[in-house]
Amino acid sequence: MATEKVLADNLSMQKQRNDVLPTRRPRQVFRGISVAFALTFAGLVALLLLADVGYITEFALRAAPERVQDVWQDILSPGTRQELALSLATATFTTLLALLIALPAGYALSRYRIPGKVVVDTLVDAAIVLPPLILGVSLLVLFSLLRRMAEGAGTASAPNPVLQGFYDFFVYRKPGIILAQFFVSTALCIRAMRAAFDAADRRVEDVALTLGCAPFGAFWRATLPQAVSGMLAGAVMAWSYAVGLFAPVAIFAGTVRGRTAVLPTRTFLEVSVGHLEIALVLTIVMATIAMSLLIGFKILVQRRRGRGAVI
Amino acid sequence: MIRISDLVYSVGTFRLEVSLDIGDGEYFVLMGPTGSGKTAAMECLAGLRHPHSGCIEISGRDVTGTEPRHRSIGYVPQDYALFMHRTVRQNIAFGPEVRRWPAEKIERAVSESAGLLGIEHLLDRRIPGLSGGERQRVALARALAVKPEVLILDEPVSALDESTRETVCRELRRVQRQLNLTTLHVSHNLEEAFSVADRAAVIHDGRIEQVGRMEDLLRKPRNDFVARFMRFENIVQGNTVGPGLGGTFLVQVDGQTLTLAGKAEGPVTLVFRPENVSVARTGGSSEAKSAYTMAARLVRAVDRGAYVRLELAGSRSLVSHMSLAAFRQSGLVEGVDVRASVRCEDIHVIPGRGKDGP
Repeated sequence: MATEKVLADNLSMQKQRNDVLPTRRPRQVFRGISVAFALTFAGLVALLLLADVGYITEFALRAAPERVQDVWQDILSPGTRQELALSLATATFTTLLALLIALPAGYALSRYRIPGKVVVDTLVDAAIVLPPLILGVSLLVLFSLLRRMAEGAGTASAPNPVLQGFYDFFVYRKPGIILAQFFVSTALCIRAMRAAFDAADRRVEDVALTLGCAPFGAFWRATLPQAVSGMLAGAVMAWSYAVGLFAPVAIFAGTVRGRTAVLPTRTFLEVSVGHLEIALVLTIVMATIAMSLLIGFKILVQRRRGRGAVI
Repeated sequence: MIRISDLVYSVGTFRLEVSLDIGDGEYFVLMGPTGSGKTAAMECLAGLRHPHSGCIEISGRDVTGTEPRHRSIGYVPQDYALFMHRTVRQNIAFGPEVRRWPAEKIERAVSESAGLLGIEHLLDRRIPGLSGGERQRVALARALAVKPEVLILDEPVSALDESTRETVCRELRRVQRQLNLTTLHVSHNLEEAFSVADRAAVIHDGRIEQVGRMEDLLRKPRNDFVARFMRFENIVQGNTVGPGLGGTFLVQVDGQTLTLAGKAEGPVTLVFRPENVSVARTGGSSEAKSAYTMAARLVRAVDRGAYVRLELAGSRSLVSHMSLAAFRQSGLVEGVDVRASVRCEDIHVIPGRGKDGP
């Protein structure tokens, strides 16, 4: 009897609520507000790019025809193409390297109790927190230390060709670009992979172990497929960061045109000599290519994973 | 056959100490409340946790130090842990593929396993669209595809709704019989155990409190924890006052002297099931002589569908279950004065003093 009364009360309350406060309206309002935030931010970014485009257009219309011609030639020069190619190549290589390290590292940080894990975790974050300029300077400091050791400075020992070779391989060379991009990209990937492995179901790995997998097989066949979304998100972040990175690349690898200049460093040089219009055109080109690649990548992944892919 | 001898496993302050023998082709249910160590025990058996000491044998082989994949076990975890990125067929074929069986053998294993569980029609489906019961069957088929010698089920039906649970339990029992598969089933649910178990054990705080057939656990709990777990609900402390006539002894409880069969000394704990407590309005026909009786007030009567649960308050609180028909006939309503009685042969005696109340 008591339960019936409670039920009846509930029913009438529900009815009242439906009459007074329709439940659909507030949800729609909430949806509208949250979507508005997303659109506003995307709009701000679009506004930035549009401002650049506006500046370029104004320049093209106002400047002397010869000057426009000069700029145009500069932009279409083989050097630009080479810088663009180097940017894309180094960012891609860096991303692959970052993933290679982040897969085991992220897994370890997610699954195992490691002594001093907090310290390890914080150091990974430190790579992201460090100002990019300081990162480049630190790299240079570290490598000049290496060189002094290589030359046997202050000691009677003979020069060390291995250390010297190490120095020559990176500093002011193309591999140096990758090393400069490497730290933050890898740290971002480790973050993403750790979150992805945290979200993966451990039991699936356990089942794989009982079904015949060795530990690595269980990781590869059972856990990694659950972490694919996180892995792709990490890769996108790492690549985007690497492809636009300027300060540490400029300091550690240099900005030698035709050798170690990438598009972001070239852009900086153009700005520093007052060629704002060239810098902006290069930026627009860069942004367009990067965005097309990212969109293409996302579509490809969504196709392969069918419904439910979230990047 | 599973033999677990003197297994010790501890994590934090929790310590698991278990010995257990499960016969060939036996369906064994390990029951216990949350945190009792039943899952840890099962994971030690599966090789997913490493015991500090003790020995685990499966079919006569010592597997204590071996990897899970070499133990010949089929494992179905609580949430099934299916491979979400694979189809049903690929899920079932996972084990055989990893073991590099030849293609036709894999195919045969998949169709046999799926046939056994009646899920052939689901083979090309993806996991996200399946119901709980279907997922359960897929997980079971996946475990059976590698032809294990031992099946380990962790709360296999607790995520299912009641009617599916019954069907799946029947199914588990049928498959287990058909394959004559030694099975360890871990559960916190009593009904589940009734429908599948050959034998069962109650585990508490990392120790096994009692092992036996369900009837033994149900009628003769060894201590008050098992009694409580088996839902005796009525637990009363008494004191023996000496031996009685012809293999009986006398117990003093609530000022009454009961003559109970058997032998005991000192303080004892009397437990009896709610379905053995009869309730009648005060002033009705007098109750049987050899019985524990109590004057009480009927505080609450809750319709539980299969029975009515009566909560009684007198010099102590008792619980009685009555069939709906009997309840209607008795004319009992909440608030009336009643007399509750339990026949002495329905009272089970546990030596020593246990915790009072349900």
